[in-house]
Amino acid sequence: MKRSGAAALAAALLWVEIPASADISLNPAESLLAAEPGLTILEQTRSDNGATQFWLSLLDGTSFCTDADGSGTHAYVLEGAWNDDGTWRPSGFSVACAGGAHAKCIENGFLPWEGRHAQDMHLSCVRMVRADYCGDGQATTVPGVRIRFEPAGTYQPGARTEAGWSPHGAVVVFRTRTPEGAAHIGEACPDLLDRSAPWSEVLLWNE
Amino acid sequence: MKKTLTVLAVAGSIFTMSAASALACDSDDRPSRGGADGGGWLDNGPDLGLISFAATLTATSVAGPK
Repeated sequence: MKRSGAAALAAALLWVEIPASADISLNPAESLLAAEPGLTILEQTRSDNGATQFWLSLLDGTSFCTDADGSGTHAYVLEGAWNDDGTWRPSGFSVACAGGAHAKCIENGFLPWEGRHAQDMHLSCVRMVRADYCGDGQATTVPGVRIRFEPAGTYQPGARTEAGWSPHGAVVVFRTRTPEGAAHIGEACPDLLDRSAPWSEVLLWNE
Repeated sequence: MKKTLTVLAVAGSIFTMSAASALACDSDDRPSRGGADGGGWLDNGPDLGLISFAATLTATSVAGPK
């Protein structure tokens, strides 16, 4: 790309590292984050799918979100808060650190701030990622399992299907990811194994 | 490591773009919006990675590791 001398000079002068600033418009949850006295926004960038990534630190300068090696990682800010059973409530805001189920779903296009259906899809995705079949907040899987997912609509359950998901957990379960999953379903929500149940509430399937 | 490039546009607006995003913009194979519309693959895991704050700006719960 050709650039005039003056423009090149201006661009060179403007290569700067910036702290958090108001250069990206903030949604209500992000505004709450910006006002949170215990957190400092070090940097914010826009990802390819439109989600804003934040790098946050605590007042002592340590990263708010870290990976397994202790390195600082990015986060997303979500409206509302989550109860222990995985249900959502509209008050406050939440920080979803990279590597967690919420962040994984956002990075796969499940953007909860894009309306009611999008929020339900996001909640269904989080249940699916954690194998929270019963919708009670209990994850029944371990890291390292790669799963394939399909939105409901065109998908036809088959031999490889694990479960169909809604914001409240699984709607129907064909098989579980781990023996612990089967045991928990047997104790807490055995009705999910009834494949004759209606699947109209399924938003997402996985294999 | 991501570096932030801040460009002051002619109109005075400021845009922030990560170097990774800038590279993706130059490529034809930039990621799509992902599976919410068309399905895909992802790594499962038990951790929520979520910290909720009350409207009073106080951390109320920590679900899963940071």
